[in-house]
Amino acid sequence: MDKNQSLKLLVVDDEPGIVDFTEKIYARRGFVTFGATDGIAAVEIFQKERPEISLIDIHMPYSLIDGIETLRRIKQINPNACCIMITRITDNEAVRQAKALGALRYVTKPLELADLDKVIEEAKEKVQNG
Amino acid sequence: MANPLKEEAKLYKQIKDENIKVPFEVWDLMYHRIGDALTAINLSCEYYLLINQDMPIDQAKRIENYTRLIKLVTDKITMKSSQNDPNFPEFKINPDLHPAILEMFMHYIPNDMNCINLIIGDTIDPIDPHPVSVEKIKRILNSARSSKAFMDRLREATSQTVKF
Repeated sequence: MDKNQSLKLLVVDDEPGIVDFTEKIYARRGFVTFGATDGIAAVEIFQKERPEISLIDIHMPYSLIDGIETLRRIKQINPNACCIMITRITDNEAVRQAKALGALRYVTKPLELADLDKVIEEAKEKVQNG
Repeated sequence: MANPLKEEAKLYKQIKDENIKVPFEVWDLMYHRIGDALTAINLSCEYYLLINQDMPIDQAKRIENYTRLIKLVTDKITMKSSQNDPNFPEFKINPDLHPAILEMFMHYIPNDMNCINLIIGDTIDPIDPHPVSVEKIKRILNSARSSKAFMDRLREATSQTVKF
């Protein structure tokens, strides 16, 4: 049995292609994955499924709420939620806010799979080690 | 993948010596629009390589759309498209890039996108559409990585790094 199998991963990005393939890749690695292309849907999924790890894009102009507000609402549901933020290198203020809200880590676009693997592995260790 | 410019080392030296910068608005537009599209191209290629299967024609068409958007952004930055473009409402300034920066912008990303489009164009050819082979997916991924590497190199050369 794959040791990732029991972990749930929520992917939030307003670019459907990013959500789709991130889900597919990590599903193959044993995660149970969920995807949302807007923050409201992401919070609903979080409330219902309680994923151990959430990967949230900060800048989502096509979402009703941005990534910071999504993070804030997720942290209200579970203050210990393990959230990784995806950002632009130019989003200094948003990064500061995310850090203040308790985000675990930040990665910047353009992303490669190796970038994601690194932060998700770190999050997984944090979840598994408490 | 775009070949390195012959005078690349000289251009980077000039950027460093003259402390040439890229306007914040240009970086912001690039990392917003190009960042999303390059990420989507990277992850879709990585997925089909992971499962070791050809990329379906529909997905190849989506990649073509991403490259079209990236080309629009680079055209905007290099002033090939008009100001007050409704596609880029957030981009209201005249970037006025230094010629050394402009030369790089006009070379790397457009050539990488052309490489991808040549591969995709063959695949989605209406006369004989066919999936993208694993070998060709690797070439698409290399071109997308080349554009990202260019953005990283230029950001480093202009000392415009952000630390979290």
